[in-house]
Amino acid sequence: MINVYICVKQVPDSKTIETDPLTGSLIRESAGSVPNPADNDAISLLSQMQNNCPEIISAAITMGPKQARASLREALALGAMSAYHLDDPALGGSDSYITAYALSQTIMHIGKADYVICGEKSSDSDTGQVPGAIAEFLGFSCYYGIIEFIEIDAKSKSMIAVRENEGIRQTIQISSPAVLVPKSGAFPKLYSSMREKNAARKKDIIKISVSDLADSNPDSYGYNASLTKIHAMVAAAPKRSAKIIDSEYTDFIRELLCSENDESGNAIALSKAKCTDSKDLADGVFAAVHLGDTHITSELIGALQSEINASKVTVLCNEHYANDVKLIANEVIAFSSAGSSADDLLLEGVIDYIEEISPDAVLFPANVRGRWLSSKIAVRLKLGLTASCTGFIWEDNKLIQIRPAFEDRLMTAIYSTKKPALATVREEMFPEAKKADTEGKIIKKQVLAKYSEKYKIISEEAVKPAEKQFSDKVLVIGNAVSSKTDFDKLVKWAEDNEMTWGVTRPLIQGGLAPFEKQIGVSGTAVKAKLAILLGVSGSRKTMAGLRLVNTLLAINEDPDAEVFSQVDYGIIGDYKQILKG
Amino acid sequence: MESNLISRLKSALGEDRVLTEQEQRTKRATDLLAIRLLQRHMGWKPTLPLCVVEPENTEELARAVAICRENKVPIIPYGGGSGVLGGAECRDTNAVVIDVKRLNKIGELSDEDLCITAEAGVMIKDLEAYVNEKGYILGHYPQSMDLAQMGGLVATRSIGQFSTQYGGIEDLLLGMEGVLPNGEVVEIKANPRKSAGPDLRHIFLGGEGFVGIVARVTVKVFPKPEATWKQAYRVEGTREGLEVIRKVMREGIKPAVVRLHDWLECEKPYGAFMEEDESLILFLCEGAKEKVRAEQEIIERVVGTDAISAGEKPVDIWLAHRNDAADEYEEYGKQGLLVDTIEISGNWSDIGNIYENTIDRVYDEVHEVLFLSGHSSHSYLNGTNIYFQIGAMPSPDMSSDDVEKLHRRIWDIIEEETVKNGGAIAHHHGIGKHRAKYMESELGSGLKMLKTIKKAFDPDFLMNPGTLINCD
Ligand SMILES: Cc1cc2nc3c(=O)[nH]c(=O)nc-3n(C[C@H](O)[C@H](O)[C@H](O)COP(=O)(O)OP(=O)(O)OC[C@H]3O[C@@H](n4cnc5c(N)ncnc54)[C@H](O)[C@@H]3O)c2cc1C
Ligand SMILES: Cc1cc2nc3c(=O)[nH]c(=O)nc-3n(C[C@H](O)[C@H](O)[C@H](O)COP(=O)(O)OP(=O)(O)OC[C@H]3O[C@@H](n4cnc5c(N)ncnc54)[C@H](O)[C@@H]3O)c2cc1C
Repeated sequence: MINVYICVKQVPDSKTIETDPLTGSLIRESAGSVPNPADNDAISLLSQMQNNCPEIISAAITMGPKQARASLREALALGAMSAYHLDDPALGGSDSYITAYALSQTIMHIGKADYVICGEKSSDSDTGQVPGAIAEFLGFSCYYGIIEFIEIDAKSKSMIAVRENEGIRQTIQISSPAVLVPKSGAFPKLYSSMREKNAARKKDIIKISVSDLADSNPDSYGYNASLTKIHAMVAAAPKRSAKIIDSEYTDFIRELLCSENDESGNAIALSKAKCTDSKDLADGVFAAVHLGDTHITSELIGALQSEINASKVTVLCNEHYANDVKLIANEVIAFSSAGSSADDLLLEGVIDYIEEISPDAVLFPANVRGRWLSSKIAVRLKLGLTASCTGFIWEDNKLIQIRPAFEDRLMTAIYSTKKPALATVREEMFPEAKKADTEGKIIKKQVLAKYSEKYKIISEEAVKPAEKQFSDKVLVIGNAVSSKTDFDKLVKWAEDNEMTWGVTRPLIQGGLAPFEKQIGVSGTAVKAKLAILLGVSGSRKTMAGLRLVNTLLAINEDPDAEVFSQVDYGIIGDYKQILKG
Repeated sequence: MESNLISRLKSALGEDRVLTEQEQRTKRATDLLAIRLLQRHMGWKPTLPLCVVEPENTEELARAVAICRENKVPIIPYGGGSGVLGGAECRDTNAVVIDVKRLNKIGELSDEDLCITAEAGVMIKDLEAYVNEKGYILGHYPQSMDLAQMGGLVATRSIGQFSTQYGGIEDLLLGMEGVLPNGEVVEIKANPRKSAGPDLRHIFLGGEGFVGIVARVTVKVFPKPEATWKQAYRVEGTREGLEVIRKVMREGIKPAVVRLHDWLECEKPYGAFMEEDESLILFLCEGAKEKVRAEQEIIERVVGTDAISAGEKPVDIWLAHRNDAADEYEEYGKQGLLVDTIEISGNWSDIGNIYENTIDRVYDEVHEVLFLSGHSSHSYLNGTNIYFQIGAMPSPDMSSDDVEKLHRRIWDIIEEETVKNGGAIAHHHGIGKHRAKYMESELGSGLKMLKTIKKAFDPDFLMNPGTLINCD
């Protein structure tokens, strides 16, 4: 018998969330709720494991209000054998640390687990830190980025799976107990049939309260126990309005295409400004954890420098990286130890550092290893952790961390109740670190770490990252363009200017472009620095796909076109004339 | 002959009014018939018309019709293209599509007579915005608000979400101008009511271009309502909910919105306000505050203890998200899902059976179905509608033709159960080409009347052939 638990969550539907126009706070009930999209991969993985091994006994678990039962029903319909609902008023306001704690308590209450499967992240809080923290609370290992299940051995309970993280694909043999985290979108989407839905409705859902748990103290849960608190919340959609450019368009367009500056209309920059205005000089003690990629670490330091004027940042890394980072760091603390893995060494090193120095904040990259490491440290030291930050404020000697939620529709400002604040930082958000005049001093530290990883690598290969469909600069071709000749010219223009291109729906309807090229509600949502809209009227359906673009320029011959109230720059006129230069 | 027709159309209307490029013809070869949204991803290709004509006024429209008639080519009127039954779909490479989008002028609004005139190609969202600015409303809010045109709405006998108070398009259309199959222009005066023989508006209302094209409409406007009252109620199940609505309608009041959603539709948006398996009723009343208060009191008295209040929040959620489906509509095809909506109506004594039998049968007979829910959204003194929402996952080895058969199987069950239980096969989407198959069972002896009308106006069967009635 192999016990497998799957953690699922009902989340507000991010597509439909609304914020209070005055306070900017989330109107939670107005959203309706849906099963967390990433949980489908978890269920899909469970179903493959069950098909492979009849010895599996599975249960779905959720923590949440009564509408969360819908998620459990869905899991039951798709194959989970039983369902548990942790529901208690004491749980209200739990952050991801407490959520992971409560879930791990629930798992221990239900019975001994061999595997716990979690979705990569929840679409509402977007932290991706619950799985790692659950693993730490349970003392399990944790495997992120699983893209394929191969087999499970009923006797030894070990399994073979493929994982892919940061450009490396590994086939590994995992021994139980472990937390498994499938990569979002890697497993086939499962749909329950009407028959399965009806059968699931008839099943029992077992209710669990805090008083049932081993730690039955209500004070261990909920808002008061949480280590991070919300300081403010604002909607992330900036109001755009076009500055009309009425001369020298050609130069203007050229400048936009060359510019690296993405201040204008930047959703994230704007809403941060609304959270608070203070910009004190930060004279605290700050550290950034270096995992191997100097560019990423440089952005961590750049974040502290550009956002809060941090005067000094220490970089923490394993010894063999010290020389890579000494040019950007004021100080490097380099760890070494015999016979431990790189990650174990870094883990113990950072913990030693925090205990010894008690810094104000420690930053990590918001990638798989950064998330894994930070959530382990958070649990070990009982520290608050904020995920995927896109901004920082230094106020009253405290680091306020700004992060988007609900697929970037909402910005929240968060602080930790204890020092240091731990935060992972989203990539490509901040400038690189300033080059220091002198090299940072390297301090070597001997660390006591043992080898803890419990997996065997069967094979390993490097994989090229999938090419992004839309690059940083995108040309959006609208219905003004309806002949094949004009269309081909524009595609060429885009390519000459190193832009990728997309279209509005009428061009798909007219057969000029394939479905993948549609931008909008029923097409792709583009994340880019710049988009130029040519002959696009600005219908809500198109604009929904351009929400996350920093700078929008529209070219349209109709001065009253809707599009001009939804972009940053506008040029009125015939696109053919305007692009001539 | 083809090139002759095109050059005649060009010389009559102007070069740029006759489009022959493949892209232009492709854009207007289909509407939003659900099955196509999936088949498009399975290699299905539309049948392209010979050309697309874009007249700019009634006179040009009439000329275009006359030329097509002389050349004996089929004519397909094209509006917003949001029809869901293939009414505007081209199935003949000789056909000429007449797109009325350039007939887009808005006329005077009369405050005294409370009406406005607009050409057929005016988008309803633009007309609504226009009258809103002047302090009025149209009272017609189809879910396709962003997509449909005035002419298309009249041609399909459409209905809006606030219909229980304001009525369907047939209650709002006062008068109109239309073009007959021989190119003649006819005008039907706008009057509050008359007793001057059968009502000629009804040749066009729901005609879907089968004997003429709508060129201009005069519709009612209403002063913006002063007050609103909103309330949701939880009920045990769909039958119980229908019973509550029936009793409310019996009082003779007309709340703008009276809706009942079954458990499956409630789970996602309203789960926080109810218990599992319950259904939810939504009421919204609007108008003068005394009227709204009176309606509120009557509803509260009638509902009594049959249902439990769930506050007004669910109604707000519905209001905010009522048109989201129009955004999602095209996504499913890409995921390999077949999603469709089928709306029927029935008397109070039948509607519960239609709902239950349909759900049971589809569930038993069509194993590909993932989702089948229903709501009642337009209620009357004598009965209500049910709007079924269906999602099915065809198996991966199914061809485009197999998928079409699967789609048809679902439709057959719903329409069969509806007719068997005395209901009507269509409540507001119209018939188009897809539903024409069921017209015989719907109209019975009446079908002959419809055919006679068709023959009298359109002896060569050139007007949107295959729509409403099969050509043979
Ligand atoms: C179910 C459904 C889903 C949909 N999903 C999407 C979606 O995901 N994405 C999407 O884009 N649409 C979607 N649509 C379509 C949407 O409703 C609009 O019809 C569409 O976005 C309009 O595209 P457009 O702005 O390019 O064209 P138009 O509305 O035709 O606008 C063309 C614009 O070009 C300007 N113009 C014309 N000639 C020139 C010239 N020479 N130089 C400069 N300007 C010129 C005109 O002034 C006009 O503003 C969807 C529709 C439906 C029914
Ligand atoms: C997401 C979605 C939601 C919808 N919600 C509703 C709803 O709430 N209520 C409702 O009633 N319908 C609804 N519909 C259906 C559709 O919007 C309506 O049927 C609408 O009336 C069609 O108008 P259109 O201008 O798009 O017409 P089209 O689709 O262009 O044409 C519809 C039919 O009428 C004919 N036609 C078009 N214009 C004319 C004309 N000027 N003269 C004569 N014949 C003409 C066409 O040939 C075709 O047969 C919905 C559709 C979608 C896609």
